[in-house]
Amino acid sequence: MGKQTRIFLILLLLSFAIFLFDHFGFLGPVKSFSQGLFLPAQKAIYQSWQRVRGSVGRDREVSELNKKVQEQEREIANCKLLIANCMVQVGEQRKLLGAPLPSEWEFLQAQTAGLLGDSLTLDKGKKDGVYVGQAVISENVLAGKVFWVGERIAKARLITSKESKILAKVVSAAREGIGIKARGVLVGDGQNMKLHEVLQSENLSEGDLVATAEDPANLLLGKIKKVEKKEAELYQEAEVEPFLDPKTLEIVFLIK
Amino acid sequence: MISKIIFLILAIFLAILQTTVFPVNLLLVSIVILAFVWQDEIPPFAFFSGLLFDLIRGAPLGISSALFLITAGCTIFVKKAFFFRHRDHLIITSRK
Repeated sequence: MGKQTRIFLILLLLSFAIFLFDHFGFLGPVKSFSQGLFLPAQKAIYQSWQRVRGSVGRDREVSELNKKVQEQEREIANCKLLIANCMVQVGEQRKLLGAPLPSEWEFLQAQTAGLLGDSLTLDKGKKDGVYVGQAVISENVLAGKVFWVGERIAKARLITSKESKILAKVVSAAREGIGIKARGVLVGDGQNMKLHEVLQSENLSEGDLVATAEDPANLLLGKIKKVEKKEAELYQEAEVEPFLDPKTLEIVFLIK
Repeated sequence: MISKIIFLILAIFLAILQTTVFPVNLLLVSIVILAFVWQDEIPPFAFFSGLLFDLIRGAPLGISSALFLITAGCTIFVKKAFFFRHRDHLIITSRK
């Protein structure tokens, strides 16, 4: 039997001897002392572990709460957007109610869905009863006329379009002598409009208002920015600035 | 010698760790690993580690000592058996 084997067997026997001693209570004081010795270290390690685990758990809770907060923030943002859209619609309808328009007119509210060149896309179409030639207004200002109707969308040509031709009348904006001053044909030039075929004898002045003379009548179009009078010609011309900026249009109304 | 002292400190730490937070017998695992390295020197460490473990966890003394000793003995036996078989193989191949 080798030395190492002897040591191994001695230690094994010693283990059983210790077990027996302990079993009969001879090693109680030793156990008590050792437990008192190691207890602070055990407590320290356990508390550190709890802190680590707690902080990890808290981090997880915090990240879950953050996720929920972000979801709710998104919901709130959506609600705010919805409210803002509603407010815009309400505002536009209030403006329309306040505008001096014939009471027999009926309106169809439409939202703008695009602006390409001088063509304004609307979110209403055949299904909603939109037809070609229908006037598109905002308050009591004519924005354009429908020239194409799809099932769910329609396209309106703006009054500033080069293809737009409207019979118009000029109304004096001065305090004294409010009334119709002249009649002419309003043609768009892309950005602004030009009033043609106004007799030279008519006295146009800057700031005069231009309104529709054809059906639907009495809708504002713009105001005279510059009068171009040429003595040699039969008619005079005037540059008209539109009241509406089509880029800012969100809600419009179609006259039924 | 330093490695033995380090092992004792490590054994205390592992014993505390597995009696408080980590429910895996790390001490037994370390005994098995060290039995491969230290071989015949491991029995006293296995004995004292077991004793320490029982003291810290408040279990009847001597049980873990016996368990660790038997485990270390088995590990050494397995290692030696493998080593001798491997050595015979080397001798045979070298004669060829």
